[in-house]
Amino acid sequence: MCSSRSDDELVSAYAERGEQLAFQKLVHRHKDQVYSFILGMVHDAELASDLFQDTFIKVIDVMHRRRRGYTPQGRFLGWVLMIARNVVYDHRRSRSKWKDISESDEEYWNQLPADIPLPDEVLYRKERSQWLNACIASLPPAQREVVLLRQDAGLTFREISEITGVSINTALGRMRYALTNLRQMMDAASQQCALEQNEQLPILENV
Amino acid sequence: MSKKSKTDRDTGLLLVRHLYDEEFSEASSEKLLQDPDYRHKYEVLSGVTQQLQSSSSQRQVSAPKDAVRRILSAARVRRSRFPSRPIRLVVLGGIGAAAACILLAVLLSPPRQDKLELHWDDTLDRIQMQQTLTVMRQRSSPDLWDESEVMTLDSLAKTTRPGMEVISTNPRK
Repeated sequence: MCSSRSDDELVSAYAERGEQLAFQKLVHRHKDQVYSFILGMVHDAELASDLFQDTFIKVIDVMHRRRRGYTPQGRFLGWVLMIARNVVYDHRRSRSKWKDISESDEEYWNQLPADIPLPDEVLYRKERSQWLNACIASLPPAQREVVLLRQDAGLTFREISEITGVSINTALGRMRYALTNLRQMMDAASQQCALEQNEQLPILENV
Repeated sequence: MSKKSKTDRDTGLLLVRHLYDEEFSEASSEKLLQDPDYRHKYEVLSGVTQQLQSSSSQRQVSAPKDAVRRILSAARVRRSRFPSRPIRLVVLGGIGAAAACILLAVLLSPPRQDKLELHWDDTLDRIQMQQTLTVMRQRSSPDLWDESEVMTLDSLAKTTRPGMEVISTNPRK
């Protein structure tokens, strides 16, 4: 019976009637998407686990508060991811190594060059998905989060714009830059592979 | 921003909408893909999105079980730390329901006579009418006016002279 209930029904069951089973169902339904998003943002499994817990603790707190609680007007996952994003950004701000850039500084986020991994590093990676993960990880944070939220969490650009507090065109623009940067990484890796193969050819001929 | 760069930017945003099929019509798609430059850009970025899509499931990492366990435990503890909420809800709900019932009962019940029925205060009128009747009764009384009762018709010829009539002081009789 519980599995067929929508997110909003489960939220109501937990927040209003205290059904623990409903909350368990919500957590199990979305935990992997939320954790993957956090891990994609911080690239540290231990830290991601801590921030993942912080996120759901905040979710529990907010669901217990009536005034600023969750209102079933949108997707529960989007709401949780917004909290997760805030937790990640709060953590970043608390660390001095992160440069504090205004969210509205669109020029900075869009023009920041992607930190493209070196092709020879890429060659050491066996799995293509791992390589792609590394490419995504090297994107500027604003571009990376749009990729994770759209591609992995399945949110729409409108939802992403609401979560990140930017216009929908900014969200679309970040995705465009992210895709362009990823394409450049793929091209660079392909060229490196071609060079490696050409270098190996004379050796093969000599043999 | 120059006109060309603005156009490029708008085309780029349109391209992303097109790639993810968000708020994008089929007619717009066909029209845009007729432009060779746009088509080339679309195909290039489409290759990236396809790779992202194919590796999306592999990228999803299972959340650590101990972290999930701690969250669920925290939810139970948090629930027990706020034991008053369900009770408060019940109490507040009960009070609210009772207040609503009372209000409804007041609104639907028939109005009480002494309070809600409006009527004309005719006390003075009744007193005046009573006084008028008293006066009229007094005036019509032969004893009080010191007059005999109206004489009968038979007696008229005997006591009056011809051409003259006895005028009664009692108009009703």
